[in-house]
Amino acid sequence: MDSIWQGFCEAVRLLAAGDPEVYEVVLLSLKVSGLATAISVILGIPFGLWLALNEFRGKQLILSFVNFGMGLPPVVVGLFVSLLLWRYGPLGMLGLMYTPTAIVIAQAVIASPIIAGLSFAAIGSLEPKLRLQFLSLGATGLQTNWLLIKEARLGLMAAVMAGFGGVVSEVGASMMVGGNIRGETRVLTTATVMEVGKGNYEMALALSFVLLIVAYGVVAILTYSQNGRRQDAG
Amino acid sequence: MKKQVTAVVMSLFLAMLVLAGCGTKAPTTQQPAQPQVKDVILATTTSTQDSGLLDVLIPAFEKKTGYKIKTIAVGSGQAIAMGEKGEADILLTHAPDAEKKVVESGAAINRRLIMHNDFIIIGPAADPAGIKGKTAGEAMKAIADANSIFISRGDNSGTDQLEKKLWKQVNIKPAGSWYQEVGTGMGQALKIASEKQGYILTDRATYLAQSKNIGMPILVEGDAKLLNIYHVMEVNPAKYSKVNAAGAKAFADFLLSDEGQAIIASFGKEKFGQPLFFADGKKTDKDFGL
Amino acid sequence: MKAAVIDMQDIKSYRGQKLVLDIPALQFTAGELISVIGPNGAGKSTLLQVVNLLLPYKTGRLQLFGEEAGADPLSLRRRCAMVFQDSLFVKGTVFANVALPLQMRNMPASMVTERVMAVLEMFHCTHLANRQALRLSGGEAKRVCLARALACEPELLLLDEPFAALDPATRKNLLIELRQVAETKKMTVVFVSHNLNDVLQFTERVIVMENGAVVQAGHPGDVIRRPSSRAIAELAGMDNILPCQLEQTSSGTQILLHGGVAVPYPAKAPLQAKYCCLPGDVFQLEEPNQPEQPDQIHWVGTVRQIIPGIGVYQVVVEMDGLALNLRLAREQATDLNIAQEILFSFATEEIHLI
Repeated sequence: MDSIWQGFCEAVRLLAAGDPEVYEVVLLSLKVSGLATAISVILGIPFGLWLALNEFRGKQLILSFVNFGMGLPPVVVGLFVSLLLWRYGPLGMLGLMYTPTAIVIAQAVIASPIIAGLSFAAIGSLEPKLRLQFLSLGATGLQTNWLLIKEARLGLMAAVMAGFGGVVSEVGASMMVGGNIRGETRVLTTATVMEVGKGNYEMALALSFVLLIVAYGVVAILTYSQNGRRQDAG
Repeated sequence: MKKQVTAVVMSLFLAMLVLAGCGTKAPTTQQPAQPQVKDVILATTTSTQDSGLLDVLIPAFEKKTGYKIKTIAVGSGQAIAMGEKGEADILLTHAPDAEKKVVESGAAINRRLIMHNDFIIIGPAADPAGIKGKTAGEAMKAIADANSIFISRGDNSGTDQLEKKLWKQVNIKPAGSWYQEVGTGMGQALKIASEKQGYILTDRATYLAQSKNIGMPILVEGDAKLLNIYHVMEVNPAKYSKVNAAGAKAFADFLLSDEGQAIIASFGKEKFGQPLFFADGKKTDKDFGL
Repeated sequence: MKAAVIDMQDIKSYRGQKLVLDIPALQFTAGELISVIGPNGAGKSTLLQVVNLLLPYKTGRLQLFGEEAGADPLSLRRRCAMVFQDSLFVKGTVFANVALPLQMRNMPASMVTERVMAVLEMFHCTHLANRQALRLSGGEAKRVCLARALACEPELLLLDEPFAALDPATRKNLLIELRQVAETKKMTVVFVSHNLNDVLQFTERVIVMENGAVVQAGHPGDVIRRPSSRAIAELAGMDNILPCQLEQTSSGTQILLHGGVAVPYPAKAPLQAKYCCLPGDVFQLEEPNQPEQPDQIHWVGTVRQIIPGIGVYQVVVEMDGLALNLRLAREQATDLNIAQEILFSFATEEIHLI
């Protein structure tokens, strides 16, 4: 218990003192995971919406893949993305291996099914006649979709938080496609694993707490904007 | 209130997008002639990185030449595998047998001796297998006979390969609940050995860095078989055209230059009272009987 | 001739493989108030949704306001409005909800406020403007839904069982208000219900649907007294639906009811008749030993139950194992006692066979 408290204190000290290496790592983690989440939102929410509003043959099959994708092991994703991005892989000419962009790509692959699947559930649990009511009030297709998204914002915000939480905390893919290069692709999770590997448990704990604090900060902001003031929720 | 918070969140995301777009650092002040391809992928081992030596060597090299080293620290096995696939430009490893195979296969060229340090065997102060002062081979045999707990890296790293070689030399195939293969880095393996009060083969550098946490004494050292020899190899540009041959050669040359060798020879003196490595640029493999 | 607001020709609509709507021809003219009734699953909601261009139809031709439906569905849809059974709101105030369709059409904000307040005024709910729409009571919510539907001044108003979840008093008031508004604005209104009382009050034309097709159309009175099927008879509240068999004799057709009761049927009988319908108000009490008039049937039965009402009482009479429901004037019914034997009659022309 002692070392946990020490770890926490060290984390606060590192953040407060503005330790440049720690800040570099924190900023990169936020940038990379934030961008990956944003991409996944742009891909996942429209897809989840489309799935929820349309019936077609093969819908169950696609759904099963989306749900399966929600549980993809990040390290497996990292391996597959590596195979694509390696120099002699099909996309090797892009020179993306061991860059932050590679981590963003891998994390977007991890987060997109999470956000798509949860968006599908959020939109799908809306009253089905609501869409018809919007259309009959004279909404265009685009207006209808936007209104549905607004009505489902509780579930959709949860999807975004789940997606962000899933990628800011993953280490397998980041390690594999990023390489944990100091100053370039070292994020909080890979730095923590490295410190554990070295046997520096105090530093590892401190970094863990920094990760928890940072992740909480982001999620807290999202939660407050999800729920607004009590009376708005009606 | 809700609209404002949403606005804050949106602008945070947008800010991140913008920041991610301009990810490059500000250029350094003094620049020699800029090399054509700046990035050089260095595949090396975790213990090399963990020793901290690269944190001194690499910035010196980058400042001097304008190249940018991307250090990928993995086990020796993986580092060499990367070289065999042409996915790295230069390899800095300490697994002589595996390295020789790679040169024979033509995947790597210019294998040159850089430095060495040594391995030691540590264990519980009570030393149940009674290995203190023995040679490496005798010690390993004693541990096996006593079925004392032995922690192995089990990850095809340089340390692991040496350990396996030692077992082979005394004709023992270690097996049983006393022989535990962990598959982690050296630092963590040491911690595990400390927790379980088991024997473990480790490089001196990592041991020195961790010794206050480990609390186990050195029991066997100085045996010629425990030498840990580091070579640098350039991945063969004739075989893999995408390799940054100029950058790789520049780094290898730097390691062997007076400046590089000086850095190696003095590293660790301040912190531990003794250097962690011995610079061997002027020597050859024959000097070590390899 | 007035313009046809809705003109359907050979419309067929499917859900998967099932044919859920089959309308060879149907027309509604401008300013009409029409009711559509039918049992559950009859296709009433489907009809409305096809008219509102929310559901596709496989074959046929649909014209709204004289224009082909396929050409510009959005602008045609914007000339209509539909109110559903559930009050479907977005999170927000009543004002925000009623303003929604106006904002969809990019109306300037000042005009929006004016129009919203005017339409709320029309349904007497201006005091609800700042309340959260999802927290309104059933009746209040429905008023707001109606207000919202009328905010864009639709030419065609479609109502899909809008008052089903309301209590009778609220329902009655809203119907009256709605009718007044509809007549003032000269809107065409299609009103789907399965409550016949609503229908009787609201419209002069009724369409009856069963299994996706129109089976009967006409004045509400006709539908009540001469329903075209058993399901409709039950829907219309027919008092006596008696299983029967037809028998052809030399003197004409005989209707055989249970318990051995036979009734001559004067007119040409339909080929397949399984039920004999008699509205409760065709019966008259007779003094004992009254002679039978021609084309009149005299029956004797025992009073089993007297159910009070306003003006008309329901009297349940048992005869030869048949249970008959009679509707008698209050003065007559109050003179009767349970287990009393009575003589009652009805005219054979009132018999309706289905």
